[in-house]
Amino acid sequence: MEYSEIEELLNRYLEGETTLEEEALLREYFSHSALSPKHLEMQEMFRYYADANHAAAAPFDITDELSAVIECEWKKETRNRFRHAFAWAGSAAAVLAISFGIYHYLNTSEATVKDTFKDPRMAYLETKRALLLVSNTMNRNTASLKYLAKVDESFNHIKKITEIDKVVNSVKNKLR
Amino acid sequence: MVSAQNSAVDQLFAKYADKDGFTAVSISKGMFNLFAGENESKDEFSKAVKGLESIRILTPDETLQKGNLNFYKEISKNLPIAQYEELMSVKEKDQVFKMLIRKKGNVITEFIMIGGGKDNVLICITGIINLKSISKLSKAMDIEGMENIDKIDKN
Amino acid sequence: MTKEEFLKEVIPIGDKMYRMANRLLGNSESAKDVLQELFLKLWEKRGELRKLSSIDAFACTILKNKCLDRLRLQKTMVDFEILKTQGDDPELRFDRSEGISEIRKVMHKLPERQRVIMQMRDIDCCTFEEIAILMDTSVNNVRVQLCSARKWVKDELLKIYNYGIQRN
Repeated sequence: MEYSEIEELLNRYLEGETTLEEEALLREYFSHSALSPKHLEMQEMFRYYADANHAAAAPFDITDELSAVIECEWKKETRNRFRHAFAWAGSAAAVLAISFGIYHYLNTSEATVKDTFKDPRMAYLETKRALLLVSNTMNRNTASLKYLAKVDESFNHIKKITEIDKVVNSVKNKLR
Repeated sequence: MVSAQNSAVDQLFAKYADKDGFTAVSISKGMFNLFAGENESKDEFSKAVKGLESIRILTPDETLQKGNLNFYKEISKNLPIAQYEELMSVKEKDQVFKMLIRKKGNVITEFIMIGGGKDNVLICITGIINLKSISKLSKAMDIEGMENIDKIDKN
Repeated sequence: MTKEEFLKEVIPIGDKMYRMANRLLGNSESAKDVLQELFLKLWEKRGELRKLSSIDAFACTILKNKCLDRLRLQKTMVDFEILKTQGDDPELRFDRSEGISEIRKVMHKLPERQRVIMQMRDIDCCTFEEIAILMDTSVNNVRVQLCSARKWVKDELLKIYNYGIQRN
C-alpha cells in the first residue's frame, strides 16, 4: 500500500470514519515490521488491537457450546410433540398401553409446574432475581401495608422489617 | 397430576406463554431442591426458597411490545383478585406494584405480585411462603434500594 | 425458522456477543452464562426472528438487559462512569513488551465509557450499531467518543515516544 493511502486511512481512522474492513486493513498493514518511523505509535496501537483480540477470545468453543444447548432444547421439544401425537393413537389396546407409558413418564419426570429451564444454575438466577425484585419492592419507601395486613398478627414482623428498612434507607439517603 | 396452583393463574400463564411478545418462566420444587442443596438453611436465600412449590414469572418483551400500564390492567383483569387478600401496594409516578396473598390458616400458600409501568412483571409463588425471609433478602444482598438500580437503567 | 437455519444463521453471532458480554461484565464465567441465556431466548423466539429488521440488534438489546440484570445480582453496582477493570480482564493475561503495556496503561486512563467503546470497536470489531445498543446511546455519540478516545491515545503515545519518559 502506498504511503499516501495509509496517511489518508489513518486520518480517517482518527476521525472515526473508517469502516471495519478498513480497520482490518490497517491492522494487517502494521503487523509487518516497522515501515516508517512516523507511524511508530499507530503501529503499536494496531498491533496491540490484534493481540488483545486474541486474548479476549472465549476459553471454550462458542459454536460447539451453543449448538449443544440448542440441540438439547430441540430434543426436549421433539419429545413433547411426540408424546402429544402418541396420545391420539387409534385402537383401545394401543391407547391403554400408551396411557400407561405416559402416566409413568409424567409421574417420574414432571413436577406440578413444568420447568422452563433445564440448567439449575439458570433456574437459580431467575429465582433469585424474582425474589429480589419482590424483596426490593416490599422495602421501597413508597410501599404501604394494607389495612387488613396491618391488623393481622402474622404480618407484624413483616411490617417491622419494612419499617426498619425505610428508616435505614432514609438515613443512608441523608448521608449521601 | 395434581396442580397446587389456582387454575385461574394456570390459565393465565397458559394464555400468555404462547403469545408473541411475552416471556413466561416456570420453576418447580424439583429445581429448588437441585440448587438449594449445598447451603442448607444457612443463608437468607435458602430460607426464602425452602418450602416453595413453584415460581412463575411473566414479563412482556421490551422490543416486541411497548410496555406501559396496560400490562398491569390486563393482568389484573385476568386474575380473580377477589379471591386474594391485598398485602401491599406501591404507587409511584410511573410505576405501580400490587402484592396479593392467599392463606391456609397462618401459612401463606400463594403470593402474587403485579408490576406495571417502567417495570412490567407478574410473579406467582406457591408453597409454604416465608415472607419474612423474602423481605429480608434485599438487605442480605446489600443492595441499597431501587434507586441504584434505576441509576443503572438510566445509563 | 428451522433448527438448521438457526444453527447456521444465528449461532455465528455468538462470538461477538460473548466478547461484548465479557467487556461489560469483566468476567468470562458470567459472560458464558449470559451468552447461554441469550441464545435460549433467541431460540425461544425463533419463530419471530424473521420479522425483525435486524436479528443482531435484537440480540444486542437482550444481551444488554441480561448483563444489567447480572450486574445487579453480582452486587457489582455499575454506574458505567465508574466501571472498574476487575476479575478476568483479558488483557491482563499478557504483558509482553514494554510497548504493549504502555498502551494498556494509556487506555485505562481514558474515561471508562470511552475506553469500553474503543475496546469494543478496535479490539472486538463491533459495529457502531452494536456498540450503541450495548452502551445505551446513539451511533453518533459512539463515533464522537471513539474519535476522541483514539486521538487521545495516539497523542499520549506520541508524548511517551518523543520524550522517552515512563508515565504511570
